[in-house]
Amino acid sequence: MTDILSFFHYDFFINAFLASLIISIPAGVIGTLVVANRLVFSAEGIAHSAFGGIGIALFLGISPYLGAGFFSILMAMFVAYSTFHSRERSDSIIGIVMAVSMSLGIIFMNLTPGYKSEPMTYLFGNILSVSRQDIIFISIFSVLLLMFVCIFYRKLLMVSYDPVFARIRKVNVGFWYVSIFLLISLTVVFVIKLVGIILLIALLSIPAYIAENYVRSLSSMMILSSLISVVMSLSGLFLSVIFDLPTSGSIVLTGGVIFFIHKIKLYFREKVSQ
Amino acid sequence: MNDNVIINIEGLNFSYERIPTLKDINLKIRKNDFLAIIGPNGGGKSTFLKLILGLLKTDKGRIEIFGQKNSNVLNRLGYVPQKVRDEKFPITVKDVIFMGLEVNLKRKEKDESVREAANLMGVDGILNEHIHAISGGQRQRTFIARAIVSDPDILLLDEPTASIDSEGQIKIYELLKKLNKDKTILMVSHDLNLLTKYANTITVINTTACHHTNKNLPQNISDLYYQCPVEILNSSIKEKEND
Repeated sequence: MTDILSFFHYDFFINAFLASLIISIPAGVIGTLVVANRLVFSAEGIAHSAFGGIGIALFLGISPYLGAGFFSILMAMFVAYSTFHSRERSDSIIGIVMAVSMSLGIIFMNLTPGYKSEPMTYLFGNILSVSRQDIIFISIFSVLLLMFVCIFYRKLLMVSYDPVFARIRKVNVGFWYVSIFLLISLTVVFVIKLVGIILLIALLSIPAYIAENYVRSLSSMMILSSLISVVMSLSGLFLSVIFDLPTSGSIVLTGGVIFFIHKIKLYFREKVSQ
Repeated sequence: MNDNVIINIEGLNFSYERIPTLKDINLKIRKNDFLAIIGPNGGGKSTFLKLILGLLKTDKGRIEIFGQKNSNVLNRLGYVPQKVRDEKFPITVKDVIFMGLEVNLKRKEKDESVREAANLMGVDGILNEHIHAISGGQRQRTFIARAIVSDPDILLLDEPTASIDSEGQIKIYELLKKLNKDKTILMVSHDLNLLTKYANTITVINTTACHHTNKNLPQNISDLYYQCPVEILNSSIKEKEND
């Protein structure tokens, strides 16, 4: 216990701890919208497209996270536009966007003169490098996101559950569909630092997928999903520093363990009820 | 136009990917009609409802509701869809009914309207249940409650009794009969035997449409599917005009 507490003597650990805690809120809230709307593969595509933005930003000498944000928003809008009227073949569109963006990223990184940074940092994240400034940005984003979701909760619920009925109630379903994609892309940018592009889909899908089985409303799913996300992120963080393991991998593996425990529990529950 | 006619459809044509789905549909629906829409699968019944609701655009022809373009009177229409989201989506009965409300109402008024509609449909005791933890019949009554919570004049239902046991079906028909006292009902269904008991007009849609009163039906009603458009029996409109 004393050993664990001693980590809090280090600024980098306090920052990582706070970032894990705070980012779990948008991850849980947006993860809920992703899972409930069956947009896991879309979110994966948007996450991977951020890599293209990072490569271009490094080439232009601007902040890679700014590039990631701009590019993932652009790709999110493209995917939303291409899949809104017909979800048919949306997997192909997302697959293409994903591959093209990743290729752009690696080519521009290669073309960047004097480039020293490792693509691995972005692909797998590095939460121990989170700064105080990053925490301020994550906090502001989380507060704004929560306000948005609280104010427009009924609209988000209606377009997620029954978009046809929403249209009859004169709700602009297209606008809200695009808004959900926009929120996913913004969340992606902030989660990249925590677990990286490759693994962030785990943070958006595992907590929400588990939470869905224990709740009756979308709002409860958002809360429970955020709590599971907190457990997953903090346990992963502690395990990584205790056993000297990569943090992103530890976070996702912790989530994987929770997921399998949940599946085993469901299996036995079904057996008992039969 | 006759004052009693609230939906007037003239020369309606609709094609899906250039294949004609509905051809030259003419229909007048009067206040308090209980119109059953039947027909073979793929005949265009659901498409017809979607065109009335403005979810699809007509290729040719016009749909007037209360003498206006349908998009202007959507708030006077209640809709019960054939199928809604997957089983896992976390939503309560109360939240589903809440969706049907006008946005500009006060919270107290909203709660009151939800309770009233739920009470009318017999789902007031399960308001906080997960929508998929209840029976199929209760679920459909919840969707009808959502459709009527803002007190529309016209109720459109797309196979609301599909996959419900016969007891549940009768319960829904009885509730619709009650609602029919002050609402016009258009219902797509395959429950041919029950329809003849409750609906006052039957329209067969099989790309084209023909209308029948429930007094002149053949013994095997599904025969109508294939008589249309070759043989047109009695038009309900004609009969009502004669009345």
